[in-house]
Amino acid sequence: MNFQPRSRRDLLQLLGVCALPLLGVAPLIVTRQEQVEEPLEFDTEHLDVLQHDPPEVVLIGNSMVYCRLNIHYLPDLMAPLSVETIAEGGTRSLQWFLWLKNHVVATQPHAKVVFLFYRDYDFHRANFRVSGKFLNEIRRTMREGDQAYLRLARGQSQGWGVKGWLEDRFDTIPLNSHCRSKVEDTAMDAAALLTGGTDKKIEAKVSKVFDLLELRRDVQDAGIAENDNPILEKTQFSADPGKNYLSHFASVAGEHGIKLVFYRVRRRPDEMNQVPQTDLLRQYTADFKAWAESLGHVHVDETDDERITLEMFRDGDHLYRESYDAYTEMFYQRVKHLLPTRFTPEEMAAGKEAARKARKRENS
Amino acid sequence: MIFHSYDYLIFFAALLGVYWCLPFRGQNLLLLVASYFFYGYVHPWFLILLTGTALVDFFTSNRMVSDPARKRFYLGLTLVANLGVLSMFKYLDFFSGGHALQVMHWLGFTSMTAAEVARLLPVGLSFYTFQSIAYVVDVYRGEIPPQRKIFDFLLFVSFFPQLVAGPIQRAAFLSSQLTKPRVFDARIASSAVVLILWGYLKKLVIADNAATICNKVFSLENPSWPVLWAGVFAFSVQIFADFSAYTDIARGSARLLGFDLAQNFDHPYLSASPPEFWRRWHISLSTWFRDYVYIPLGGGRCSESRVVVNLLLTFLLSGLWHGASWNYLLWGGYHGALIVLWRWWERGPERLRPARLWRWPQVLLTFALINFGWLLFRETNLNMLVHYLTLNPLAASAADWQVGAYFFFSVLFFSVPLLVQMALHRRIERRFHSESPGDFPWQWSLVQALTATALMVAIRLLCAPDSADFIYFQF
Repeated sequence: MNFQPRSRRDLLQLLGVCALPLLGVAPLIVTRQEQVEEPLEFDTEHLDVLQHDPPEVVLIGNSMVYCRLNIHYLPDLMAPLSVETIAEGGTRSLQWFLWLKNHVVATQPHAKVVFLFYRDYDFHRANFRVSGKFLNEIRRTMREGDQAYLRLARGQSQGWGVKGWLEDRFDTIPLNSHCRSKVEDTAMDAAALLTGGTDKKIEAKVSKVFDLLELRRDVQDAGIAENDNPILEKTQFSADPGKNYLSHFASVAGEHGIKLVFYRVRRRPDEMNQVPQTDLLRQYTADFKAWAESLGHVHVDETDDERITLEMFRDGDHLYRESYDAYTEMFYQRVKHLLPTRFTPEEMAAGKEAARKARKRENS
Repeated sequence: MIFHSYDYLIFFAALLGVYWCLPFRGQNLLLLVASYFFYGYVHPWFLILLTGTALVDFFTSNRMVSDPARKRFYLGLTLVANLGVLSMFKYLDFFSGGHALQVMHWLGFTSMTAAEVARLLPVGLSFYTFQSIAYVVDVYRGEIPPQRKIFDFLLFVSFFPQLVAGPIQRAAFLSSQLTKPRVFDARIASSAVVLILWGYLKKLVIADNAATICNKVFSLENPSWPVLWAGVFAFSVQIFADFSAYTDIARGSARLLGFDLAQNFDHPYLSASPPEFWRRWHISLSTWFRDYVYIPLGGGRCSESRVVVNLLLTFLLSGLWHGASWNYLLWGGYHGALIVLWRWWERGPERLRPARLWRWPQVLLTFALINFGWLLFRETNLNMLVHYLTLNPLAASAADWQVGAYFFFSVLFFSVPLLVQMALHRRIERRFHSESPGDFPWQWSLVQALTATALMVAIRLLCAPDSADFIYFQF
């Protein structure tokens, strides 16, 4: 090796420059993981809505619910049943499970049928969408004792190859998410201070501005249109409680007598009006259906429904607003035989009384 | 292979280990193999094109010297080959009115899909083509001798740190380093480590976080005026942080291999006029256009009307270099017009100009003008661009201003390291670029080590969850 004079001392200094950063980062990758798995202050928004007028039917999911169904028209079709929607863009199975466990089940009387809208492999991966802003939302939906569910997601590989190997061992995503949230919160405070608004108002306005309906048609925003590519996935069905939340869903629902309807939506078809599917995906779906039915739940798959044409799709798997009503009617026709009966006055009264007692207990 | 991947870190660490154990000729051969591996990692097709044009440039440049009577012919040949490849792969769709696929089918590639046509464009094609053209023109002008060793020439064209997104190197500068034995200097290596980490911070923390906001804003159907301009501000931060990050990582990597690459940015947002901005922004490309387009056209030594035409033409070509799209032409034309207007302002009657202008208001004005240019650069849909330009700030609601302010502050806070560096850069550069042994006490190593630690920690804590490719890869 060609060294310049005095290079041994310089070399030591170079080693210092290289080694110190690694030592500096080391504590960050082994600490604070537990802290970010703790629940944040529980967000009661959905619970309050449900409890105000307990619905017999709840729809849970992400934009696959509100960018396809007209959620204001559906209650008319389902009348006299009451129906509520809990859906936020980009969310995945852990968030859905926590909504079921801590909102739907916690309502008195609780819903009899819960629809879970999903695409292809959404239920397979526990670790999808559990970091960044999704992590904060998840933590706001968690109750004490729910840390194990979050740990299940975070214990899984985050990726492939070297990146996956490293991230499996050195998990700094929660801490990163925490720090970035701090920066964004400070920006929110500064904006509120400058413009005379409040953090809550700005947050609400930001959500409104970026409502999917406000997005350009010519822009396939990666974040919005992002979804797994079913052609590339090579996955076999599994309801192993250590791998995903399917059996947890079933167990919570079974315990409370709730019927789950796993509703697989039809994805964007090609120009021949066909949705590309691999044999593996077909097998996965068939196994999923068999598993759900073996536990008394239901699996509905609208993938082969050619009435949902390409012309109805706006971007990705989202539909044009003009198509919502037609889709909602198709949805209703497909599931109406699964709908429950109304709550009896006795059920309603007992539920309300239980809710009152629970509130009293919580306050005391 | 992309710089901000674990693959690159492993590749580079392994390369460094072997590289410094080899003799000089072995080092060059290893670098060539490594550069080809680096470039062909995504698609081996890229290598065929790279090698093909490089071989043409090598033989024509040598023939220019051995057969000087026909050197104009050889220059023409090499220009046709380089610009032909560039036009074919980069501008085919643009000049065929969006019918690249049909053209490919007409050429006999009937089974090709649109996605395959899009994938044909090799990353960094414009960069290495311009570097090769500069080399051949310099040989033609007799400013440099042609490279006699083919492997050294292939390495000059494909040297991996700067292959994909520059800085575009001049043969006189890089080739001379390829032919001299290199010495490992631990002090330079220390500064290189810091420079690389600084590049990663700019990319992963500043550019990627700004990109999150910018992409959101530019995906809106009807943004309000404050939200749009907060998005443009985010883009101006993103593009600078992103591109200069690439340059820093490239320069740092090259330094660890014993090379020095030309500087590409000199705090462009501190410029007090459009011409100053172009002396500080993408310096290697600006000087390329100056030396190989503007001056051969006559430069500033001709009639005023001709100078204006030369300037506008140079900037239009510069815009077109960025991509085959009308918005890039608009962007180039806009900057050309700014330069012309500034020239007239400076040459106008003195009584129209204030005796003394403060620098900071000029810097802010220039930054605003540059931001307007970035709007043209970022928005590829001309209808949307017209829509944006008709937005009325007075029509924005209080909530719109709140959201705009929130985005602005988010970008600003993620950019704090950049602001600190801009404030301290003169002092930092004096210290980091110091070559004198006496100026490199152990205390300074400690400062470097602590800086590197702070950068690493900041990257880990604040990097955006998703990281896109470097913006300039597409050019």
